[in-house]
Amino acid sequence: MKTIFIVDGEQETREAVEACLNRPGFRIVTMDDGNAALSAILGGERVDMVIADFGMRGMDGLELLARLKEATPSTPVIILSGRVSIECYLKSLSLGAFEYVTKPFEAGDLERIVRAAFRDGTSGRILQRNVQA
Amino acid sequence: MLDRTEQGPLPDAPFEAGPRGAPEAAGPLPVAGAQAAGMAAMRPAARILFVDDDQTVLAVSSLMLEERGCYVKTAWRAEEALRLLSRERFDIVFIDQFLGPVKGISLMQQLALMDPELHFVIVTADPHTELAVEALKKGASDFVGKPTRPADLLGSIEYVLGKKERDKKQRELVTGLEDQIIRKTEELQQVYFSVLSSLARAVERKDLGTYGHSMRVSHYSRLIGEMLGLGEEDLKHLRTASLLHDIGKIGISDSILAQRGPLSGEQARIIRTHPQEGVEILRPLHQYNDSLPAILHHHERADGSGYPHGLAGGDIPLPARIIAVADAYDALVSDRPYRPAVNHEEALQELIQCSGRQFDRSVLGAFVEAVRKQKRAPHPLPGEEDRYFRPGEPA
Repeated sequence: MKTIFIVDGEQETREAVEACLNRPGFRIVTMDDGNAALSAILGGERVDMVIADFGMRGMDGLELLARLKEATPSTPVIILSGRVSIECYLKSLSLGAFEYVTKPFEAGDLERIVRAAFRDGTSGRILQRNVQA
Repeated sequence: MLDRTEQGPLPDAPFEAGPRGAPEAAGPLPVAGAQAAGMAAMRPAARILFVDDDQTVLAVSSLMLEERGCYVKTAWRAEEALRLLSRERFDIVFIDQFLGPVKGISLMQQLALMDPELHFVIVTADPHTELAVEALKKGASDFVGKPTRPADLLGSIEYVLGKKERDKKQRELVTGLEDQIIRKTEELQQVYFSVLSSLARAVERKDLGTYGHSMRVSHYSRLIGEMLGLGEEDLKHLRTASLLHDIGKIGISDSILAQRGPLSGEQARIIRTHPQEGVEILRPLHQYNDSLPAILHHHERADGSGYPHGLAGGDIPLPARIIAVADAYDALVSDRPYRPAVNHEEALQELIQCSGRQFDRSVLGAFVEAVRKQKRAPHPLPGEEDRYFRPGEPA
């Protein structure tokens, strides 16, 4: 059983992602901000993947990504974004995100990306160089 | 070349100017002064090092050779020979085979390491065939018996200098031939490549709106390949594949290629044959075999929904994944019969929306990072491709 954290400030998105991934073998935990996700993980809660929204209030997806990569580097993180931003895309990759997925997405696409991340998500950062904003 | 007539006598002291110091190597030298008058044509002149533990032999030989215009240094022990040779350059070293603890032949092998162009003559009071054979096998150019008569020494010098000259000519000949072969091979490859580039351009003339497309795709592909750290060999195959990726369209009818509206199912099926057709066209050209997988799979998609084989993710060859991104970018920023061009930033955004779905995330990440700061990804202008796509040479 793989535990997937869905971290997004919008209930609508959380539900949409949960619906895409409501499959045998996946256990979904939803949260509405980055701090909650980080304290749960630092508190020892088991997690196999984090799907986080880029634009959350409080701790946003990129900050959560950076903190997660320090705490548990091998856990794949997928960043969701409501609008396409080239800088945000590059930042996500350079911080070690497995994938940057723009909303809206198709259910099948997200599931395929999640499965790919479980297959080879620990293979390291894509962009080694630091990307500046 | 040293002209002793003008420079006067050579200094006796070893040169201190550093290794291989000032005095230039002597080929067969014109010999100076009055002595030269009578016998110049016959007499060899060279820079000689004489190594013998018998001081009398050294004194006599050196006097004799100097009288005949040679520059001579003597050493009575191996260490002395090594020291002299590290300071100046000689043409020929005469070594006595019986040098106390050191055998002449082993000293010769040691000295040869210091200067591969040096020639050696082994001198021995006990001249027998086995020793001569051993000396020659181990690199000596000649072999003379003791006591040495002037004629023996001079004959040997003349022989060795001649051999040196012949060796040099032969080396030059071989090097010249090698250079010619390399040049001709490059020319042939250039011809091949030009023919194929022309074919690629012929395709572009048929496929409306794609003029210059192949070379731009090739250029973007190289950018990505370099970002991903591909080696020169892989970049070469990538260059060929990217330039020729659409060559299979040459067999597709103009009406399908130029169609403005959506394609019918049958037309789409025909278009989708072009990767395989391209492979068939290039297969007989063996030097392009390593580029074929990239051509065959450049329309595969990361999620497995592409063609011809529906490969997904890492099963798609890396060069094919690279060409897919370069190809899509160039299509987006070019006007096509069925839609107008979008600008650079919009194109990147569209590609990013397909990350992990259509495109490999690491390839796309590399491309976006390489070109994000530009107004448009840099590329050569039509007609400039020869400057960019010279085979075997970085673009």
